[in-house]
Amino acid sequence: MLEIKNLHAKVGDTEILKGLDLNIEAGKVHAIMGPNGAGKSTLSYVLSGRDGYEVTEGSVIYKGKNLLEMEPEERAGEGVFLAFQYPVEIPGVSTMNFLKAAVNSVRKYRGESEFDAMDFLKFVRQQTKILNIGDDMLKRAVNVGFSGGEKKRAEVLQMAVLNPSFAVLDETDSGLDVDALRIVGEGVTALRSPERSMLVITHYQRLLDYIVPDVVHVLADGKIVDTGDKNLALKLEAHGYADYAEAAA
Amino acid sequence: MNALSPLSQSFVDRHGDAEFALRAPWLDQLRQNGLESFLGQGLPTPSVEEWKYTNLKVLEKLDVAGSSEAATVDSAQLNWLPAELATHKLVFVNGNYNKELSEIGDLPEGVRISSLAEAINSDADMLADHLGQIDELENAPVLALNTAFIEDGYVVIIEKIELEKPIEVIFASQANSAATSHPRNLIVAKDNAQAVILERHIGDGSYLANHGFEINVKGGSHVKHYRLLEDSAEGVNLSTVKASVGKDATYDSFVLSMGGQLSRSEIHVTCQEPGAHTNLNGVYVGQDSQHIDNTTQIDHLVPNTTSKETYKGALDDKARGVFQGAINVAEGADGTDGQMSNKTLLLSDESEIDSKPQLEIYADDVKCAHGFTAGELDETSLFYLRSRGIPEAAARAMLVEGFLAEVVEEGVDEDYQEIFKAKISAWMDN
Repeated sequence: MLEIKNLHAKVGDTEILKGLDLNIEAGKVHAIMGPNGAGKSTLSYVLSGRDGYEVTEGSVIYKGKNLLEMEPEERAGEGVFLAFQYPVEIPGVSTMNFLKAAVNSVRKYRGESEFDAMDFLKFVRQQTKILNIGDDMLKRAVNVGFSGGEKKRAEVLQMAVLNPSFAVLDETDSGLDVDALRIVGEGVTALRSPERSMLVITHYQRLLDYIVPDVVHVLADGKIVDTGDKNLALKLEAHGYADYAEAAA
Repeated sequence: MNALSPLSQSFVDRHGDAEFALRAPWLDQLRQNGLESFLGQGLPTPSVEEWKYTNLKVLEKLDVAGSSEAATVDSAQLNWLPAELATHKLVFVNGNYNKELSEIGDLPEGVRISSLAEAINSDADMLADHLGQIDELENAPVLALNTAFIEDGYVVIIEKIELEKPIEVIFASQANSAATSHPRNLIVAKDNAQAVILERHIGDGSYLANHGFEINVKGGSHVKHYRLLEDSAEGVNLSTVKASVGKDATYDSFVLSMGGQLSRSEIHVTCQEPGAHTNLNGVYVGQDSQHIDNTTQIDHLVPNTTSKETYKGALDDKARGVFQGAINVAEGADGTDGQMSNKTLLLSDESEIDSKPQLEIYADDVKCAHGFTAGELDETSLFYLRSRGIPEAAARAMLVEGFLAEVVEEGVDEDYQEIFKAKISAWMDN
């Protein structure tokens, strides 16, 4: 599904990713854990195509295509999705209109027919129920005045309706209390499928109680420094990242 | 007194030649007051502080002294509201009421809606009581000019009643040779009356439409005055609103400025009695070398009056916007709450906004604030939308529309928001 080789990337003059290798097979959930400043968010932005993140070396091949050459909207059309750590507020644009524009854009890209308003409403309601999202939230402007939990649920809703093959979840647990974490975790878990891969980026282990990963990687100083199964996450929770920080330094 | 400029003099000459159909001693006197005030001031130039950013020199290129010819209007232009929305409809062509195109319909007791000419003909005494009452002409040369040429316009006088249907007013300017019009409009609401006015300004060719408004909202009344300025690319639209707001009364103004080579909407609201409130909202969108000026002044004269003002714009190409917002709080006007904000998106390198907020506060216990921003679209927001598959151009349009739609949602009753949102959308698609 996704093959990252020797990825180097910088922001401004600072090199953040320093030769990152990662393979994610179809249907698998990988977690990347690491201390602050390791390059977790940079990786998520490089994969989704944000301006200002310059790849200086290496490659990212997604479903056989060079992902790095694509515009952000093309990546979305190809099935890449990023759940933002800090979802962005879009004043004056209702969540419903935003979702419809997004879904119809990717459907058009994929050569599928676009939804009309009625069909779209039915389609969205299938997904909102599981995430405990009411119609009133869909009427409100995108993320404006949403609580932390509402924002993250809205991200998962976007993921659900955009039907990606590869989703990156960047610190999806940040700002969530235990109940919100459970709802979001269950929402994401419900979206696991043999055709869909996920990369769950997190600082803490707790999210992985709800989204149980197949593989866990440790990212430190711009490189993958360790890889294991879900038990690696538990080990990190107990011992912290100190060992890796020293190893990287 | 300085000698008048040739341009100003041309208006004065025009006045000498004018044959006003409506005559009454008080009306002649009112026009004369306007003319004399104009003679003393002349058309404003950028050396006048309030006109620093807007130059009426463009009028030299219009044959503004030329006669207004009778003209016709494409009837398709007159249907701008949803078909199912019933209204009291008045249409003015080059400033004159056009009965054939209008449909005022039946009016409830206590409501007068008519042309100014009709109102003066049928009820001169009442009009004499209202017209020219709150229009200070000092430092208002453009309104003085309007007053000098009072001929027609619309009149709404409403008491003790909540008007069910909105009042629809269309001002169409047609310049086959050239046209100058000075519509004078009067809105009076008292004793808990409520009315919604939906106004559209359109035109064809080059002309000057110079509107004067006297709006008197008294005792618990609420006037919602929504305007859509869609003048022709060569048209010039000037308007001066003088509004007086009384006890527990509210004047809401929303202006969507999107047409004309030059437009200036000037609004001066006086919160006259305790409990007076005003909401001034506006959206401006400009392209090519359009010049759009929104100038407002709110005077809080007595304790416990409030105002809220939000203007937002998007400017492309070489368009230039002007926002001047003054809030004055008189001595002793404690408990005043005045909030003002102006935000502009500059969509091109050559677009420009001049924004001048001005607070003058002479009372102690006051809550007043103003905010101003101008800049480009937020890159993070743009990336967020694109990461959801929305192509860049559509994402930009969505952000601009959302930015502007907020003001529509804040300033316009839910029933009418879509009318203005659709106009903004259509502008974006252009």
